[in-house]
Amino acid sequence: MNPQSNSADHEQSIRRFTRRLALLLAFKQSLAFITIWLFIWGIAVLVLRAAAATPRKPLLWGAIGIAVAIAAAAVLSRRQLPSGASVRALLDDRNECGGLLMAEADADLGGWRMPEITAPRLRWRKARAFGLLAASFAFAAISLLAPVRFGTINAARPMDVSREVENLSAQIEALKEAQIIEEAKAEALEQKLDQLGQEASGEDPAKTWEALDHLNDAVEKTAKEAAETANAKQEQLARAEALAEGLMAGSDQLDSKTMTEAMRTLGEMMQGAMKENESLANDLSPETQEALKSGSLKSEHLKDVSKALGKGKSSLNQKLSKLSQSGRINPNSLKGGAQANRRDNSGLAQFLKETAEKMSVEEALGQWCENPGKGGVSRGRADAAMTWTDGSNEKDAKFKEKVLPPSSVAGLNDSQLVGLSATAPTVDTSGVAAHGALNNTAAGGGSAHTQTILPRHRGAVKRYFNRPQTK
Amino acid sequence: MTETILQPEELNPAVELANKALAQLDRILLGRSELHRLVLAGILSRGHILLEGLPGVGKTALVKALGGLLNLQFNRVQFTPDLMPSDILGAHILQENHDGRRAMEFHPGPIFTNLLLADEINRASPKTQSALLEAMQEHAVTLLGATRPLPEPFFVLASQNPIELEGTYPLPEAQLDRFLFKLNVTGADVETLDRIISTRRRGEPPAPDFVMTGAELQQIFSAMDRVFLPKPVSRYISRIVAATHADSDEAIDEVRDYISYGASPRAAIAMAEATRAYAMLAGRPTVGFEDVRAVASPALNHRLVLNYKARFDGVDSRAIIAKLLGRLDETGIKLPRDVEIE
Repeated sequence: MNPQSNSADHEQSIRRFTRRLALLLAFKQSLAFITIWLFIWGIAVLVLRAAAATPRKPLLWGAIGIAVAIAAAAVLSRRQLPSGASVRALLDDRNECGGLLMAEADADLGGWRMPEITAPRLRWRKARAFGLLAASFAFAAISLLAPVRFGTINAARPMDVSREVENLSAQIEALKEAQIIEEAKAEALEQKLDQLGQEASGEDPAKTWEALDHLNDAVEKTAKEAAETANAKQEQLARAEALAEGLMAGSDQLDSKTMTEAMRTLGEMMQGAMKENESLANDLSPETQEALKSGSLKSEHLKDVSKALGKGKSSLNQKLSKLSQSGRINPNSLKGGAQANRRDNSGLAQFLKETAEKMSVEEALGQWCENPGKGGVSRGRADAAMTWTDGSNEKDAKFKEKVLPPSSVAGLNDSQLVGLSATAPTVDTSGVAAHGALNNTAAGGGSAHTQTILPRHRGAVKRYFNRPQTK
Repeated sequence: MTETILQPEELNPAVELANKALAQLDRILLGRSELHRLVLAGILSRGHILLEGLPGVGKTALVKALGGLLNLQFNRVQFTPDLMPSDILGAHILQENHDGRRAMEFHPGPIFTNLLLADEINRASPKTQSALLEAMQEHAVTLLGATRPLPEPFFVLASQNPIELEGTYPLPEAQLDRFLFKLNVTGADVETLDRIISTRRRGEPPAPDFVMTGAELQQIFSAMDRVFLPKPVSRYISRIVAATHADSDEAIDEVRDYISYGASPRAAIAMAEATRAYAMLAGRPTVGFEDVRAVASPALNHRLVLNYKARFDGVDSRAIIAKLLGRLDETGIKLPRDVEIE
């Protein structure tokens, strides 16, 4: 083998190894870049599909990025490629040429021969790179193939207020059935409620809840107004019933004038009640209706009138009970009606008789109904207000004289002022009589002066009191 | 025009002579083949060599054998604490000449020789040690303003006891740097000891049956000067020397942790010369990476100044150099971590 051909072989070996290394680096770099691109593409696909509901087809254009990644990897790997001199040095070292192969590049080797150059093997630990590539590919595929509903983030998010709407709708329906609210108003409310249920959105829950509250208030207000109207009607009927019952029970106690006025008042009240409550007329007999129209109401009609009024009251009671059951009104508002139902009207005739000169029948009836019972043993219930008569006379009243026992604080008369305190004096009765000359004496109150005998004086005091009595 | 490298017919006689000298050394001193190769490489590189080892391991015997093998003027100085510079360099003495007049006459010291054996060099005081600085670097001695060249070739082969021993003065870095190699002479193994005591009466080595003349040595020198140092190899040497500095890009962690001062440019020059000699001893006209790996430790170990942490951790410069060689890629090819060349 001549040196020239030997040199050409070496050049070829170097080029071959460099090419292999370049391919390996390019492939490795491509895998890395493709992996990165697949992850980026997958994320972009997810975001676009979720945010903008972009269809799959335009997103597939991202696959072009793979080609770009390969091109970029090729460029970068070319930069990473070692120089020819470095590869020559590597082959020299691995083939134990002792510098001859390196020298060949710069000098003529002359008669020197080298062993055959064999390129070393390139080893790439590729498991990690392929694992990451597989993961990125799977991620990109899932991003593209996953149903859009799993990733949708901007679609309208309906708010579930069906329970509240259902509840409110049932209440409106109940109010409509009970003829508490008018049908037109009920329909308007239901229409609003349906619209609210459809437009309820999770984007602005406060708005939905505000609308629901507003509707709820409207229903409640309507119910309350209905309840108040019903209560007023009930009271009106109750007064008329009270007058009718009172007249039935004690018509014989009234004079003809009062009786006539009472009958006229009852007739007017019945006319007014019939206007507001049409069903009331149906419960009256034709004769009674005729008498009411002609203003010739007689005692024999009172029973019929009372019965009709009772039925009317009962009907209104049922309406109010329904309202109460639906929770639309406060149960306490039914108390007035209940009170009216419990009213004892047996003493009304007597009351009318007593007040005939002071007020009209209508006024007396008002007082009777507003203040149940008018005092007296037989004129009202236990909760009736007391009717005061004139006060008792103390003239000629006699009292038995009694001498009071002497004061236990007589010692105060002999007390001396020793000082004034800013606050009330406190008396310690336990310490005063514990010892000394005043032992066992009664404790005085108020500002009684006490003096404690010092222990060193006790003997002298004792001797003074135990001294023999001089004659 | 392309340079032609040393051809086989030019190189082979020199290689033969060198190998003959090497064989003689191996015959005289048993079991130290690699040490002899490095000593001879150092001599052929015209460098000074420092041999370090415990007393009795054969340092002086090696230098004496080398002195006997090379037909060169040989002087031996036993360094002691009271040795003065004039005892080595020479002195001016007042003498009466033929016409009865008196004049200061220079009497050269033992340094005026080809091969100086500085035995137990670290037993002398630093002042005396420093007397060798000029001689070793410039191959000349200056006394009373007169500079006298030393005979060529001039080598200092010094032996020293480990500095841990008593009565020793560590050599200053400036002087250490002038030694091409610092070689560690260790004890012989069982086989060698057995051969020594069974074949040699009182351990006396045989006389060399070959003596290299000055002309033959010059032939080797001229061949060695033409050994080709490829650019990647010189680059590798430069990278190794640079990497002994903590601020180098290629410095390894051990260098950053344990080295206060790295090797000097003189180290790179010494390595380049030594690799040429080592390649020639291997019969090659070009230097390879394996030559650099072989001479790196002897050429660098005494040139690295370690810090206190290295002493505390028990790390020596040879271990750091070994790690540096292990981590530094010869070709400088930087491949991704998961790609390897088998």
